[in-house]
Amino acid sequence: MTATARRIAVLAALGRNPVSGKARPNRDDLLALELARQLGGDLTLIHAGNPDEAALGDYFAYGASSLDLVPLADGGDVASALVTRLAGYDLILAGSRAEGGEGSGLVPYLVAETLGLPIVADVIAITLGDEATEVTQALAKGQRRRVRVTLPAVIAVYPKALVTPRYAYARRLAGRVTTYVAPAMEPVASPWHREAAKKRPVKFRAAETKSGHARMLSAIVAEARGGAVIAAGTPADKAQAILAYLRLHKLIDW
Amino acid sequence: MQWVQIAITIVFWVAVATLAVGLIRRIRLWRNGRDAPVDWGGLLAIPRRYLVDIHHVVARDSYIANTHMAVAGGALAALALVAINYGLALYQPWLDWLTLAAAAVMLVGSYFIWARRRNPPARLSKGPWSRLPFTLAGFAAGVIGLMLVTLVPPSATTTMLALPLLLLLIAGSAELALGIGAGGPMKHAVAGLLHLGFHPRKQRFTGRSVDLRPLDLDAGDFGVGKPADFRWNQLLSFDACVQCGKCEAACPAFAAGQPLNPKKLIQDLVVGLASGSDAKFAGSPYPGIPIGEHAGAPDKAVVPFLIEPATLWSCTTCRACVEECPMLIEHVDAIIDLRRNLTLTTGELPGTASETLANLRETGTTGGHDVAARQHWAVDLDVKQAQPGTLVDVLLVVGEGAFDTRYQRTLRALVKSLKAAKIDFAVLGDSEFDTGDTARRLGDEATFQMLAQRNIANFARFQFRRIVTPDPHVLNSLKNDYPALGGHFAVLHHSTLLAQLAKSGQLQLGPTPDRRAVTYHDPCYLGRYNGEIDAPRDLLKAIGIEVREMERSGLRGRCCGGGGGAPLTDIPGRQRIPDIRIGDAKATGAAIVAVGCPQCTAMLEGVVGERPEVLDIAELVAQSLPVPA
Repeated sequence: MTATARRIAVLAALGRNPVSGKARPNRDDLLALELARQLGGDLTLIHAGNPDEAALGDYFAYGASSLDLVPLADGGDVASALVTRLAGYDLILAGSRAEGGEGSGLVPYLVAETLGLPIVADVIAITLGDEATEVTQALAKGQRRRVRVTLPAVIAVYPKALVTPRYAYARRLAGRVTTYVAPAMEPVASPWHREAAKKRPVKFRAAETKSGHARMLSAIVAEARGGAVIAAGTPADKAQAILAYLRLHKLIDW
Repeated sequence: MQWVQIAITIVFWVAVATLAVGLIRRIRLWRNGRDAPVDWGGLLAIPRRYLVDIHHVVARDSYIANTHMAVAGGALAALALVAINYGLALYQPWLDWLTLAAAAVMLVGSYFIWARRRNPPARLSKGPWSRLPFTLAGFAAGVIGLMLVTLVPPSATTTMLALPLLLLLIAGSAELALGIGAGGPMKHAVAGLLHLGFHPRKQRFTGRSVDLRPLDLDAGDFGVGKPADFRWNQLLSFDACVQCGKCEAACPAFAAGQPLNPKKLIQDLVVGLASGSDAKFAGSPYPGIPIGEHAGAPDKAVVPFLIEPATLWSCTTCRACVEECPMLIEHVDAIIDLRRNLTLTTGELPGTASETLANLRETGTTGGHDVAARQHWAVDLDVKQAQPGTLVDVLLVVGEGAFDTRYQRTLRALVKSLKAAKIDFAVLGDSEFDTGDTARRLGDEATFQMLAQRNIANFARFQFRRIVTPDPHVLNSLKNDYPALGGHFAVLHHSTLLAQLAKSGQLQLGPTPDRRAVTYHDPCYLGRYNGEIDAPRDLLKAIGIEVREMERSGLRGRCCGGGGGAPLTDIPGRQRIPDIRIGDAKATGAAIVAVGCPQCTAMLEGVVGERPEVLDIAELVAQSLPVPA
């Protein structure tokens, strides 16, 4: 099989802008899409989720020509839904990080487990050869590792992959969505449960204004710790002393 | 000399026929462009546009203005007289005398062209343009000689002289007649006049016209990818270029050594429209890009075959080139059209421009900030937030500068002055989105239209009489770009409002306590785009500051380098544009540069080393408010 005839699937999730919360294509999935586009071959973009989400169209702007959509209700099992459309691909690419909600970033692992495929994580580059496929993994401290992979395989793309997704509005208009029938699935019970937050008292702490040298002294010399111990006096005097301290350190403004 | 007269008649009609054939050929090339409404009435307006609007620009350089008046005036008069006298075969001696006089004026003008070109400024194109004084002088001398030959009694000497004079006339006429068809220098005469008639922005002749044409995105209009995507009258306008290089001399990107030269850009588009390579271009190249490696055709992509993307991304859209152009060519429109195609169809933008556009789409701010945090600068100032249903006089649109701690000082100063003048004003709470100006200048029309529609819908929720903004980019966007999308607002720059208030006495200003010398830097989007050059100066005068004008100021002010998304695309050059501008400021000896724009503030404050202090007009005004008793 030649390198260009490989069937490649890219798993596309919806992400959220961390500031505004606006729905957008998941940044890592865009990197996966861009890597796949540069590999050439027969590319399919697959999303499982709400079919009415307008932000899905942005995947077209970022270069996908079509999108296979598996409708899925909120809270449905994304990995299982995706697997229903993932038979027969040589490479399955996905991002590494989820961007919001209860997203866990585990979808590529779950997909690989269900399909019984190997998974390579933290990938920044892929070279498709006629014989073997080589991927480059990002390791800690800027180290790189080249790994030879037997296809089919699942690849999770590292956030610093060496590609730049480009947004072109004209492509957004040209993209086509194919919606498949929603798979019959039992709704998964969420492992999360909600409880009301308890209000806790806030501890006042004076802002540290001492020099580094003074702080060091107060840590090692008992006499240099500062403050005052008020043993004598009426309770009102002691309360006044405390108030004066709080005012001095601007912990209360009355 | 019967035969000489007949020969002149023949030369005349052959030249007219040559011109006509050439013109038809050129019209065919222009017609490759997209349709645009043909305003035939514009043809009638040519004389006024030529004598008033163009003259206004040309007269800045009185030497060449007078020279051109002599050459073109003399040539036109001589041609008209020859057309009557010889074209119609009248052969009246008194008309010959007039023709002779006209040609003599032309000859004198040609001498001055020659004199200028002996030691030409770098901005002028050489090549075929260098032969022009000689061919024009040849034409004038030929006419003068032949008129004399026909006027004096025939003799052996006149017969002997007639033939070389005829050859001189033919050579001169060839320059005039072949220009339009063969693309020679004299093309400008025909194309220039037609360009005046069919100008793509005819509103320029009645007022200011800086609004950009909205793209019909749903109809698949994604700007200009190949020369034939320009509208036909834009193609015609490129042919009007005389390669005087005034644009080149005014261009901040060219001065900074970035790969842009507006003159070369227009000439490249001429190459694209007529098919060919840029090898014959005889002016300054784009800095860092050699001549002769690019070629184009009407249906061939402009980028990268004809023009490198870096050239387009160098432009700050300051319109200095447009302001200087004696042929009223719209360079910036062409650049925006080309950028639009790059951005909308490929998304390949350099630097952090892509990131900024994504921020605009996702957060409604260029910096990716939280819109709800935009008014945090005013948290302790007791500034009213606009409420639906409650009328306010002034809606203060603060712009992206509100997220910048430096610029917040300007905003706070402005609030101080507004309060001192007892203006009823309010800011938009958590619903002020970016106007989309940066997106539009970067060619992202889709994001601009999305933001514009969102803003127009948002403004409709509130009741206000006018919008005031300290950001000229916001001003320009709301005032000039929004009307085409259905947003009509009364918009003022803060300097305009403060100047009005100071004049009416509603804002009492004392003399400034700061006695340092001040110069004023005109923001392009306030001055050139919106014509507001007086209010800031009036305001400074009102607080007792005499502005020391920089070398380039007012409508001809030099850009700070911050417009058009240029700081985002960040094309490398030899020098930075704000450094050049601070150089101008230093040359005046001023210790303060007064500004009126968050972009200019940021760009000029970014200049390292010793430099004048950069203060917004609002800050200078607030300093001068009398201390309340």
